[in-house]
Amino acid sequence: MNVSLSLYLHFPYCWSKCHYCAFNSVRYDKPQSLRFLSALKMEIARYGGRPEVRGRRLISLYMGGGTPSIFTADQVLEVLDCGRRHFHFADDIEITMEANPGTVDREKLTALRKGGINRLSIGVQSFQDDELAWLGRAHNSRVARKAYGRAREAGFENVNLDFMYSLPDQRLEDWNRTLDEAIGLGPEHLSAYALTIEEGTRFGADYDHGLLMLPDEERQIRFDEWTRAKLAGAGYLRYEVSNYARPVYACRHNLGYWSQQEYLGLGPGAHSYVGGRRFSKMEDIDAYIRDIEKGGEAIEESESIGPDLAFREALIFGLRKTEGICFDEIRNRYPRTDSGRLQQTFEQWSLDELIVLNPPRVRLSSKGLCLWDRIAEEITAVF
Amino acid sequence: MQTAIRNFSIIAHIDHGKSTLADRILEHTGAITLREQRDQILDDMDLERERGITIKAHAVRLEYQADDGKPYHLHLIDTPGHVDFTYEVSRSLAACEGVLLVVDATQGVEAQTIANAYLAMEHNLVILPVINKIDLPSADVERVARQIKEVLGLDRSDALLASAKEGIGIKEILEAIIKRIPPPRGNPDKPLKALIFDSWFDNYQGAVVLTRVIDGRVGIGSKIRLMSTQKEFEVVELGFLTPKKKSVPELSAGEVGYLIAGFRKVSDTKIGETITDALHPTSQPLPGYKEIKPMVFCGLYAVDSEQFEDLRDALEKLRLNDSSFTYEPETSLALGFGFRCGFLGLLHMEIIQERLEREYRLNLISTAPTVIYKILTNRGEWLSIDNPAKLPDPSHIQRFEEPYIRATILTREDYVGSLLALCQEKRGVQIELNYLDVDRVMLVYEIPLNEIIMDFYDRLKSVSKGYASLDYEHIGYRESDLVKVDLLLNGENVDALSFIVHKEKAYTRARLICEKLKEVIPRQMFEVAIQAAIGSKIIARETIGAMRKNVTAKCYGGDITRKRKLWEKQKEGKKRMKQVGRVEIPQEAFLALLKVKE
Repeated sequence: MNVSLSLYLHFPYCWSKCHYCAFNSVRYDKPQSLRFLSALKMEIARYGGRPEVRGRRLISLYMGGGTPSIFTADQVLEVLDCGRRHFHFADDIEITMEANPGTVDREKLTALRKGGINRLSIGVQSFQDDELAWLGRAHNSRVARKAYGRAREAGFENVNLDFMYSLPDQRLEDWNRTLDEAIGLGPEHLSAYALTIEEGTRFGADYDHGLLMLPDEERQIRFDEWTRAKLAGAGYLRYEVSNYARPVYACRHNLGYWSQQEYLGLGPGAHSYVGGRRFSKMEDIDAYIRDIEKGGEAIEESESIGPDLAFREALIFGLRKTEGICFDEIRNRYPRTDSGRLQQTFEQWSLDELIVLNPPRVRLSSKGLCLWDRIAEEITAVF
Repeated sequence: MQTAIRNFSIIAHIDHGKSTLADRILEHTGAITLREQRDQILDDMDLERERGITIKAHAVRLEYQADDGKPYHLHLIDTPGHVDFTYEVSRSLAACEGVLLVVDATQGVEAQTIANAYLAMEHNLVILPVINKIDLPSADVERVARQIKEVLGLDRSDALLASAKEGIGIKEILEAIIKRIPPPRGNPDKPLKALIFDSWFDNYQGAVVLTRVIDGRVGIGSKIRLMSTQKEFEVVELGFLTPKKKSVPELSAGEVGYLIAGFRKVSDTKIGETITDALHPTSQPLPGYKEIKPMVFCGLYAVDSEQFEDLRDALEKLRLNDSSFTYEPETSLALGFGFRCGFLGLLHMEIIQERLEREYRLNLISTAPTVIYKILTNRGEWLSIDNPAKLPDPSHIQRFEEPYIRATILTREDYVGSLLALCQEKRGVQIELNYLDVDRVMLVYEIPLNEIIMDFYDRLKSVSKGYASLDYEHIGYRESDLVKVDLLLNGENVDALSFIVHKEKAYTRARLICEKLKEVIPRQMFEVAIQAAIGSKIIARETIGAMRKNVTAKCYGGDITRKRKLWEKQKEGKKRMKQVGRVEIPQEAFLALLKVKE
């Protein structure tokens, strides 16, 4: 099998838990984190030799979390080198690391850059201090600006900044100031996530108790449209629901998720799509470490994706990208498809202005992108 | 020996203690101890599960040694306790010589107390008033005794005091039954004349009937004839329920028991039917037989159209045990294939629907209940309309009639004002307003049945904080100024939502229903126009705005499975809705008609 592959590595530690965060992360615990690092390296070594992975070109590697940058540069690079030894890195591989302001200084960033990490994703979230405090972030805007500057000084030429918007009391002008400042810094890539309330988070509990309300639909859409227009004006193109980039800087790893690109996810709670199977790793860090140390694979759930499901996923996830999907390609790849029905559905949606038909391509309109989940429900119900 | 027999029923307003009193009487006569009673019931339930039959002990034979030293056979005949089943009650009473009229000492005379008492009087039965729950602190025996005298015209000195719960006054009641209720006076030597007052279906034996022999006798092996249908059968088993089945070779004049004669269906054994001897028939059947006709209709549809066959099987099975409901296939453009079902009343409808959903695990959509309208067409033919969608074009209608009822409402004086307003709103015509007591008022109204089946009972209870009771009887058809209102979703007529309403109320009702539909129909990705129309004239409109935002901002680390499962769950939810055109309509929308408050 010589199909390309992506690799995701999960680092489940943070200094503190943000109020919106439902990701698999816990407060940093040094003794456990050391065991975790060796387990992760064992896991990398173990998977690198497996037949479904062996020989496949790794085109992207993403270190996410949690806060990978909570570790020292040496620790991170040891993991990366382990990956390099056991996987076949493509020459132009994209290697991203997530970093939180306040966990990186010039030396660490310089070492990471030198060690081969070529893309840095900084969790800025906002340049308004009151918003950062409300979100439960551990940094303020000054520290965020500094982190960006240090990244540039360390030689990172591909930097992403993460933002959140559509916050309950946020005024459009507040968000606009953050956007202005972000654009002023000139990163290659911007992620702008509308706040969503997740179960099991502090916001989730507040929401259930009626203490927190999201802006109404009209307002959210106003924020969305503003964001898109503003960033487009500054040369950032929206390539996926929440992601914007300067030309050629779209995140390869991110795009992979929406393009049926296979990826291997290692570390506690990581998800994979390899060899036509989706599987996830144990979320509980101790359980994960113990299983890996015992020589296991720490699998939590696993399912096989048959052709019908794969077709549905190709459709749904493909439509998350602004370039959309190629109708002919889908039809060729999944010959069993009821393409008449698909055509009919698309035509109806086109009348509803949810999609734009541009044969052979089909993409969601900006109205349709706002309804992606609902469209996914419909596709699930019909196909 | 008929002199040793007493046939009686217990009648009461709901919750006045009828069942508890029956239990005490069973215990006191030693029919069963409390413990046995429980075991007995459990045994029967097991049996019920095993054999798929419904055990009814609706006519129990009790042995009682009275104070006069003689042994007596008491036949306690149960009656259904709801206004929907008035005819059944009347047939049960026709099998008796007397009744215990139970009145709650804390509540006093209620609407069903009066209705039941009148029914007993019509049958010339001896009425023994029993003032129950005298042990409760709020009991007002004096007041209730006065009501019994003034409202019902019964001798207050005849009233017996009891607390069925505490077992007080039971013996006195039994003695009064012996002394004051006359024994049956049929002639055992005349040709057989026996009344069917109840029946149920047994998987092995077919329909089992409960019967009161009026004249003559019937034995095992007798050839009998049912007089309304002239069908003949041979008796294979006879007996008493004690409450266990105890078979006997013969039942004779004055006795009450069960009879099995190879009746294949419950519908062969109609309540009120007269049984006679096929060889020596009587010339005249018993009076009072009526063909029971359903009064309230609705469409029943399986949400999942693949369950259509299951629904038909379930209806067929239920009808084996209950011949008072009817069903026939119908087709709705909106809902597909289903059945138009007829019921005695709203409660009956609810019971059947609940059984279909619970016992047969069907997921149903029911349309709003309707009554039968009568239409005289221009061509001079009469049509009965049990489904608003089937109404002919108004230009073909010469005369439009709807059924009326006569409602008796008893209430505390404080609520009279709101009840008058409610009856007025429901197009009622006042017939009577009487003070029964210093603070008890009886209202009698004639009201169109279609107003009653909307939400009348719930409203009555809510405006009176539960202090008003209702009873009603059907009084026939009257001409009325009615129109059909159609509901359209994005221009498509949803036939299952059409309704018939009085012209003056059409606009208000239409507007309220549009509002209600707007509430219950989920937003779609496109705008949905809800319109109400009389003919081609739109009389109300609402718009459900399109859903505009529903998108996950971030799919964490490729956790696609979790998202996908959410969509699959949504898909299950969609299965519970009916798709009309492109609009998904939840079940509750079809009952919107019932939920609007004017």
